[in-house]
Amino acid sequence: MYPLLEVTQLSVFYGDAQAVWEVSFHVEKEKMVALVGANGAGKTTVLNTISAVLRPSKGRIFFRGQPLAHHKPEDVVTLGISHVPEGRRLFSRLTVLENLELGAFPARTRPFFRESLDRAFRLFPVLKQRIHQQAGSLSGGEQQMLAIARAIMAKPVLLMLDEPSLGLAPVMVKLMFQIIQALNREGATILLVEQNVHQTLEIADYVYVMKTGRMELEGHGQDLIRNPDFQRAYLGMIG
Amino acid sequence: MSAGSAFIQILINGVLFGSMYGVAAIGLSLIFGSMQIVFIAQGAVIVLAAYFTYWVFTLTGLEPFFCLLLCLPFFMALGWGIYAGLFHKVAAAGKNPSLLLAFGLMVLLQNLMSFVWTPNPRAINTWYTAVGLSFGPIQISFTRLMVFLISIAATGLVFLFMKKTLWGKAVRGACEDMRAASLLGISPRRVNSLTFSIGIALAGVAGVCTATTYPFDPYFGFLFSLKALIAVAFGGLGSVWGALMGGILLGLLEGVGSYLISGGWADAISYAAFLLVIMLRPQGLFGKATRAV
Repeated sequence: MYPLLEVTQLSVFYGDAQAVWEVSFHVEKEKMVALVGANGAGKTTVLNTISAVLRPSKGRIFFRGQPLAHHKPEDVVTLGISHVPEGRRLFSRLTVLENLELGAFPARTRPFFRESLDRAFRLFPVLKQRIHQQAGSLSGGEQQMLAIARAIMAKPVLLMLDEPSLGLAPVMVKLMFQIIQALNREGATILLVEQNVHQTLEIADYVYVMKTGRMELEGHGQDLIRNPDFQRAYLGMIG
Repeated sequence: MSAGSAFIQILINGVLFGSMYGVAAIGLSLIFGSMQIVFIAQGAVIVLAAYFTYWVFTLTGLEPFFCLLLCLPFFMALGWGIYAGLFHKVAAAGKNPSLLLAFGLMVLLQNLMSFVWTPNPRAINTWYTAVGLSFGPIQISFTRLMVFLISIAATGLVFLFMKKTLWGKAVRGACEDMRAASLLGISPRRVNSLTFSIGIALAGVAGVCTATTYPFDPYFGFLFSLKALIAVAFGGLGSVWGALMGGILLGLLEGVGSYLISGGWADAISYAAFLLVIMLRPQGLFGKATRAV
């Protein structure tokens, strides 16, 4: 069996500057895999390449065993990969409901609209109270919830989350990690990009560590926590 | 006629005339919203529609207002074609090439029209062209009133489409953030085709309206594009009713300006107001500044 998502030897450039160097990793079905690393490590670039916003100059991406090549972003989501981008990118002048309706834009997902909406409101009850409010008027945490809710409206097989905890209050960060875990338990495969290393290690099944565009380390969360190199670099421990 | 009723007359004429700017402005703001370019050829397309109406009327005697029904699908298809044939490829190269292309299209249309129909001004004369409705001392031209009603109807239809249909919502979302829209499965190509179709169809509406009320010549359109742009600036981007209100406001401003100062100042006043709005309220007079989160 092939993994749900497989990335091999991926290299990505911005103009002449190489941002990602021959990165390989894979995500098994129904697992939660995390990409961690400091700012500028290339994590967001990897996600943007998977969702076809960027083109790789080398390397291949396979989803369900099929190569993702020559796809456009709007095709990738139709295949079953939903990407919650960095900074959420909600439609701030549209209402909460309208944002969710657009989440279910791909034709194959529209018949399940009611069902998906109920699921979104079950996971994020606060959104139901804000249903006719403009997305731009929500708090930061609510906006992040809406961004995730909008993405799952497309019934993705693979959900890619880029820094869902960024800019949130600690209590909201905790809630966000619980929700991500709940989604994973419901059967969603998750590829999580995070700078919040501690909490990511606790919930992820497998963790890849990137540094300046290259894959540096990988392992199960618990193994990485005990790895002295990793401790020094990412957990702020003096070993 | 007393000064008071003369002033009311000026206001009414301003509103009626401004609604036409408003319709053109909605089209301009839609295309700007999705493509981020000022479609400067909008005015030339409006004049093309005016000639189209004139031509159909002269050849077949079809009532200009019925010509609207003919014009709408034709200009919708034209808008789709302009995007698919010209702008889709060029847009990939960036905004400046698209802007140049729009400018080139404008010059091409102007010259084509002056070649086909001669540069002499044309006007449609029907039995109702000079008919006015009297309300006491106030006179309302029948054709201008029709133009106003058509403008309101067109605005209402576009508004309903944007508010009620999934594609309308997709266009609104995409105008705010095209990348986010594409990540949800909304194809930028189809959004752009749609905004071009609606924008050019609205130019068609404005063209029919122009043909029934005013004389026009092939070069009249550029000024129309500028006025529509001013109306967009007044109304704020991304708001259908805002663009219409912006157009009406511009019509009022020009009417009152010509009455109080002189007709020659009308354009200077509207451009001055344009600069003031851009400097002081770049989000438009009716627009709320969107909070960056």
